[in-house]
Amino acid sequence: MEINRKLSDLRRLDELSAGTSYIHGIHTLFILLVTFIYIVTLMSFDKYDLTGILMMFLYPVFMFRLAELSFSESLRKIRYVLPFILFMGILNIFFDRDPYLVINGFRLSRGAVSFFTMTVKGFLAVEASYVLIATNSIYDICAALSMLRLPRILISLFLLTFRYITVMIEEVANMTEAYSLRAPGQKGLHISSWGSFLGQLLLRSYDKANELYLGMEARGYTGDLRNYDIGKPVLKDYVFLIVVSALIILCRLINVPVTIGNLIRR
Amino acid sequence: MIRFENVGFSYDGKRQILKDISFEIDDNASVGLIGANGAGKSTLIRSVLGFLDFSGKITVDGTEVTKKTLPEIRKKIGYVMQNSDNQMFMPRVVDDMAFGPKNYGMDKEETERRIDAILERLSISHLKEAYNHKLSGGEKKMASIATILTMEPSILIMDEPTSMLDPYNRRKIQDVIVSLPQTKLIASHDLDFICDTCEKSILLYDGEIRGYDLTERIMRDRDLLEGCHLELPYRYQ
Repeated sequence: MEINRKLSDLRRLDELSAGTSYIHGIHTLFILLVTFIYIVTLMSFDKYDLTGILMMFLYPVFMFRLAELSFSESLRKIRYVLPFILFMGILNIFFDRDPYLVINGFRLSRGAVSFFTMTVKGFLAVEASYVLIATNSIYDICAALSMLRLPRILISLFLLTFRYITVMIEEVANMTEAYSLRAPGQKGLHISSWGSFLGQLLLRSYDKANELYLGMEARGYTGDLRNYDIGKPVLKDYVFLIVVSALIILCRLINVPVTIGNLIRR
Repeated sequence: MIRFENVGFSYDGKRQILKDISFEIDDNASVGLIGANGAGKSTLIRSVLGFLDFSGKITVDGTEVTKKTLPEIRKKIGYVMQNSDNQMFMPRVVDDMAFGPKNYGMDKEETERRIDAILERLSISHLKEAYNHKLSGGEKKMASIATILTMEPSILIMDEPTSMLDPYNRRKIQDVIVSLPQTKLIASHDLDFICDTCEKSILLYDGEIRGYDLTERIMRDRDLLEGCHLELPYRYQ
């Protein structure tokens, strides 16, 4: 069933975050910082700088390799976000029609270039975020955000939203199962049941989420993860941060495809 | 020691769920909390943990339960929930066991040491790296007890620890509970289980204490139990 598949998708992320690769061994705060630097650098590229952005593919490629993650699996997981990424720049094709490049009569508009650039940027940013959440548990990420002194309320919101999505999907799965058992041969949910189904879902999810929160509170959670121990950074974490950030910035400063092209031309 | 002094609670201000409850549980005692559905067992448990705004006074090891003292109180009390799914919210057993100690700022080595010791004690070392959603009901219950024990609480409060367990796992949980040295308050409908694990019992009915005595004495009193909509345990029938 589709709902159970979504649930196992979410659980798979939890499973991935418990891996033992080199990247899993890096302190969460440092992966978080590198991801932030990467996304900011990525966004700093001009919307027509499609060649410049190509080098930014190196980061996810290496991270996927080092974290022993599957690229095709990541594509399956982010498939729901992809339409939004495509939608972001699609209007540029229609509004920005000035020519960017004309080769043998083939005219490439500036709008098309900016559309591709924005799509690639969005895709890479999502992939970088995927690496972050596939190599760190949500609690570790929130604890790292606490270390960066982000507002407590924002972190709690982020943490609990993530947790409650699972709760809600579980409840939908249970209720749909119970419904289908008493509605044999019926496809989906009859329109007359939508109201009560949604109402019940809300109440049941609320109760369950409340229980879950009590369970967290009973074990010392106070909405603040500042004391939550995610280990102390060691030398390899600092090396990781410095080397990877330097490489990202280097990729930003040097347009390698253009440089190589110029060298060949000479 | 847990002490209740004239504790009352109502959700809506009209119907009293707990009515003037007073009792004491000594250190290292094991006390059963029995009563029919709606008697107020879960409400009483939640009051000790400070989840409810009750009237009266509750003290745990001399510390009064107030909003200010909650972190201290919750550090002392380990609460095993009825539904283990609500308690186990981390990906793996080991992560869940580390959640409490990490929240209290315990360092990695000490946390790791505690986790290994508890898992060995409960004979579930093989579950350390297991994913929570792949555990059976019995394993989940054992793991949920383990998550609480890593915090090394001096008091254990358990809500229906044998619900949804088969006889084999029920026996296993029972052996584990009996072997734990902590002060225990165990709420259960399984009266035979209470007979096997608790020397004393509190009988609740409609938010009031109808009996607080040696478990055997309460469990043999047919009139008292039936008056509170309960039946004699199988062993005394």
